[in-house]
Amino acid sequence: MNILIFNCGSSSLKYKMIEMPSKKEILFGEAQRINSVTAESSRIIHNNLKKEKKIFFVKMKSHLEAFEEIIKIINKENIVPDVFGHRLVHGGSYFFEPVILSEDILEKLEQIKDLAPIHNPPAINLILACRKSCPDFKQILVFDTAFHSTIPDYAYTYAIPEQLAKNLNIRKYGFHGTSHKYVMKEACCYLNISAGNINAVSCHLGSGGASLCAIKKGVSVDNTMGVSPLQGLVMSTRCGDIDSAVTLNLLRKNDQDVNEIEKLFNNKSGILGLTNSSSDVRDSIPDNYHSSFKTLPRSLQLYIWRIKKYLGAYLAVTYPTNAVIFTDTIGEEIPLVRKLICRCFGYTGLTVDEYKNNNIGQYPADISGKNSKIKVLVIKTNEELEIALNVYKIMVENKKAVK
Amino acid sequence: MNVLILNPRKNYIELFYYKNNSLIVRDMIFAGLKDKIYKDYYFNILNNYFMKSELSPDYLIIKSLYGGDIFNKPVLYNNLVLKQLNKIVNKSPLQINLLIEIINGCRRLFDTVPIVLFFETSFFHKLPVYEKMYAIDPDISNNNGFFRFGYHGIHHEAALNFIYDSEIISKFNNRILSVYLDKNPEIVAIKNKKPVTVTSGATPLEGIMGEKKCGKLDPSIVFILIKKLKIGLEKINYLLTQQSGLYGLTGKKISFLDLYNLNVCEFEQAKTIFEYNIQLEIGSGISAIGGLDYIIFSGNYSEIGKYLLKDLNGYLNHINNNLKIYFFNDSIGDAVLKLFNYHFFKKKIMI
Repeated sequence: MNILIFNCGSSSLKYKMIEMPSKKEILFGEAQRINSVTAESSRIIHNNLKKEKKIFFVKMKSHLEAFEEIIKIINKENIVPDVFGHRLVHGGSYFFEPVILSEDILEKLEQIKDLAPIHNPPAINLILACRKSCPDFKQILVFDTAFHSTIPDYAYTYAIPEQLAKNLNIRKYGFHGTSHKYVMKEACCYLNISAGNINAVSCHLGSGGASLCAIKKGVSVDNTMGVSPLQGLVMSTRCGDIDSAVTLNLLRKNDQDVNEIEKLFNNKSGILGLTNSSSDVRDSIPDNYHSSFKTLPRSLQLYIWRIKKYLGAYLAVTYPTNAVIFTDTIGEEIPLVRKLICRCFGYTGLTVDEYKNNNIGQYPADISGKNSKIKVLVIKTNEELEIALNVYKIMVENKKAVK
Repeated sequence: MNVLILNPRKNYIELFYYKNNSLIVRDMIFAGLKDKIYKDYYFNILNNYFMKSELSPDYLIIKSLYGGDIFNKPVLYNNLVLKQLNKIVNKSPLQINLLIEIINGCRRLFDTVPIVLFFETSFFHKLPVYEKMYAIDPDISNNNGFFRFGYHGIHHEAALNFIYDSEIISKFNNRILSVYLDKNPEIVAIKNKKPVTVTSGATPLEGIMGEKKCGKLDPSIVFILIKKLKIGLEKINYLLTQQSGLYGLTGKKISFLDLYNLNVCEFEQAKTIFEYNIQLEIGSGISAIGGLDYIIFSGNYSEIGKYLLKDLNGYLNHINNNLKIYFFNDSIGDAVLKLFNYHFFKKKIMI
């Protein structure tokens, strides 16, 4: 079964065709820097059947345009998928496990669209585009929020009137669950710990969004994102945590224009808001690996500072912690960021080996210092494989049910 | 030396009168905090009170919640200070207008007594810029004063001085968490006597949940409330500042002290949410100062500090098995007086 997975990030669209159950990757690629103000132009990096890497520089103003360009590239490979799998960022209070797309599901998706205004709308548009171009194909949706359904009530409850929160489904949902789950499983394999025994903090630092996940006994117990992916860390265009009184003040000054302030926080803040020139954190990173925190651009200081504080919080509640895991674009590729985040945690027994950190040969990589009491791992996330596993499972179950 | 301390609160002015450092009078003068303050309103209220009392202060201290970027230490009131207060009035109109009115009332009643102003935000003026800033366009922050402050600096500074008076602090053991436990708790991580991180934000609304305030929220929640409830900003503000926190979770107007003393089953969930809030912020604060040597609990509810660490004991022992924990139970009057003495004797306030 060939499963074509689409993973809609806030500024990227990753795709991967995976043959199941062999888990063989047939082709894959990523449309990068979609509609984002960055120093470099948007492009599709495609890896074909012969494992050749090709870069297509194309203007992509939306995820829909990116999808159309990707389909054009795949069609040239003469290979056809059997089913589509989609990563959906927010399942709201409707979806805690994967589902097959139907009219009823689409209706529910529309209702929860606003909970993740950067992510859900392009993903839903993508699903509609897939349905239009391949109406006979089954589409399976896998939700990022599902992994976080284990977050305990004391961590997911906001201190607002209880009944109001219930009526409006306001609670912490958590995000990047597919990635956090995948790297946690990989860490378990690497460290030879059974899944039910691992305590870890997973740091998913993407080029667009970023979140930390506290994992205790193999399940998510907290995530830096909240009811929406806006809360938490400083991200490429999202502000992360901000005083609610600031929000109210800005609304007062902007004639209560909710959409305007929502757009400001989601699309014009974070690294972009601070630098006023680029939304990509990589553009702020100095070339010198030995740069100190004090010499960093202010935007990068805020970015790292917020991660450090959340990592400190999660190390306290996941004690005794087996591992800190870095993943996704920034987490995997930028040693300086990992170094500056980890350097103050000597008090927990966590240390990083500078050489290993700066010279990663293959993933997963253990960059811990010699006597580090907490393993520091860099693991390449593979949300697409995690989605494929879920899609395959649901397809097999569906087939059995039909029989 | 007779010192009169006034602490303006929402519906009253708290009064402390000390004679040679001994508390002689502690009282409350009822006066609603008004959106619009009428001429002579506070003068009349204070006049009514002081006509009946026989207080003759040598110094009069007024505590203010907010001092903006300008007031980074206590000041002796004069015309220049008034000009400076007027410069920050737009950043916190309610607090600064109230302060000016009370100063005016006091000057008419005690015309020869020096007035010293203490600001809760002063202690935080050395917060690092990356801690102060929000990840929004800096022009928006600068134009509106959207920077993180702490709001219980007087308690934290008094607690810090208490530790420095009791212990030999060197560069090897100078990492302190000051946990202020009151209606609106606040945690500050301090290194080398300087605050490094604080849980409150541009206003006291952010941070740890309070008895009535929500604390940290996903910024999207304000948008959801406006869209779904279709109510105005003032109602949302009221909901988040007056109907949330412990009250919102339990539906009962109880204090944090009640939460622990009453031992009611139906409050258990609120208790675990509050404790988890605190645990996260303690973990976060420790990371900001790279370890921990002292924790000091202060404020009216400092005694509940002992319950808040129970789930962190293993972790705290792991990071420092010689950790020292103090409970510092000063009232705001005592804390202000100690700081006044400290600043007065060190001649930091030129009187």
